[in-house]
Amino acid sequence: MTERIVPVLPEEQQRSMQRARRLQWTWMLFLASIVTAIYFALGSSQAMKTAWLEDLLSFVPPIAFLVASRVERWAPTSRFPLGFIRVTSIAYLVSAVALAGVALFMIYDATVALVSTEHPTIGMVEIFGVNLWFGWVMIAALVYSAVPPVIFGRLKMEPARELHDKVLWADALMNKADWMTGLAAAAGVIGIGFGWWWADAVAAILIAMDVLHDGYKHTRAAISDLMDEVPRTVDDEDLDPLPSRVKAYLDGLDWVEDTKPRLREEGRFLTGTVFVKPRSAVDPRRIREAEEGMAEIHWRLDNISLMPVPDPEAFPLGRRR
Amino acid sequence: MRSSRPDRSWALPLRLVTLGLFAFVLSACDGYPRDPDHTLTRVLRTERFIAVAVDHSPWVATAEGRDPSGVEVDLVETFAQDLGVDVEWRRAPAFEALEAMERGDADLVVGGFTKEALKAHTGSSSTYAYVTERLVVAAEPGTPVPRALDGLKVVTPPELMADRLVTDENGIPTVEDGPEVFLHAVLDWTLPERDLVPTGIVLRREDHVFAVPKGENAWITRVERFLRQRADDVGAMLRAHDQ
Repeated sequence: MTERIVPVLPEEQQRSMQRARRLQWTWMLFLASIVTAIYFALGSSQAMKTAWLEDLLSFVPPIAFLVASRVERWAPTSRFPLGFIRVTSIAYLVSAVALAGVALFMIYDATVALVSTEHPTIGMVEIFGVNLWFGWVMIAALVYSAVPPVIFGRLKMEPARELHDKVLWADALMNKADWMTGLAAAAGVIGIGFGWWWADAVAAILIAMDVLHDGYKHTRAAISDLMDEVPRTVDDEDLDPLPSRVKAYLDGLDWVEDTKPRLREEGRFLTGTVFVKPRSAVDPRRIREAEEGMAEIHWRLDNISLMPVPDPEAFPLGRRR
Repeated sequence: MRSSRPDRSWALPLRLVTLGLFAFVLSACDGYPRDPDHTLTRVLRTERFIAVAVDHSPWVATAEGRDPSGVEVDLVETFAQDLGVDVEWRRAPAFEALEAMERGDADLVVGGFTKEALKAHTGSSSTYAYVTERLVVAAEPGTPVPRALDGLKVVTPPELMADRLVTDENGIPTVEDGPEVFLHAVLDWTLPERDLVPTGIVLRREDHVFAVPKGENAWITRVERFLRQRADDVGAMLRAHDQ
């Protein structure tokens, strides 16, 4: 079996990739500072603990992205002749499941606190000789944790689109929504200050629900990808326009009578088969030319094969039940 | 989230931040934080609170027919004076006292508790560690001050129950003071009145706290504010009570 040639990203995408990697490294530095700040301000607040766990989890997608964007460029081997391109989809699934799993734990934890009427205790601290309610320190840490993710989330969206990277896209969306976590936890702490002991656990449950929702959404999207769902745009809102462009290009060739593309996503790339009904007997060299022509349409089209068939509507292979 | 309407996405966070700032200004005034079960307001209204004394000399000493005494008892009395209220003392063993407080039958429990020990009782909470008591090794003046105990004899009074701590540091605990024995295991607050030189070897550290009801944050911050003012006097108070 001949091994696949690893697709090379065009120059513009390579620049986006560099930018995205740099962004993720810088983001992780900020995230580390946030996680540290919140850790030292944890106190006995349930909401703070939940927000902290969520921040800790925010490390998973950037790490998944950084690892996957390296691994996908590995050369195919005789054992993995199709290369390692799918690693992006796998990384996406792993981060999504981790997210959902931790969310379930957080909901359980906060519910137990609520049911057992756990009254969170927050005392005084002395900072530079001033006596201060520790709740204010917690709120300060939470406000700090709310600002950087919103900025980084916005910055990551452009390269995510350019690279058609669903891990990066999911990560950007999560970051963009992260200010809600910080403010919900801060509301919980302010609530404790007003003597509403339940405010904290309720805030924690709300945060955890939001994380669970993200986890569910992304797990579904990742599974759909691995199930070879019809390719969709990076935001998952529309069908990917590329398969129709492939069809239009092939239908325009003079030897082609009809086509039916059957494409799937492999990481950021589109691959698969196009079934072609030729007008008459076709020279294999013309098939090769058409395949090369397809690769010129868009950088994401990779390793697509043309299959001449008598009737593209009738799937040719496999036994019918 | 659709990115086709990016300009609206800032509006909500901005509004919430403003709201948060408003809440901050509002609550920076007195009466914040508040208690879920209104301990502080009740204490100030009824002009008394219930404190439980758990025997643990020299922190708290209780005896039948006598008022409780000890460093922490004095601290609680001074705290009550500062608030302008009276203390109603009760005597009880530690767990009974903590459970009474969890039910709401007591407002404060003192008994030389350490932060670590109170963690075992999940129904109550503790103040910050207002004093850290160290069991240290000190040398008689004019003798070499060792950096490690390797094989050296240390006078370890049995009531300290610290033999194991000394052997853990490779020292040899002994009861008798002898000619070749010049090291003593002592509590750090006794040092100022004993003619001994600290070696820097610490056998045990204990963070002392008051036990307070969980989540009564106004009450707790009041107690803690008082303790922060008095923390520096605790060493002298301990020496006075130790006489």
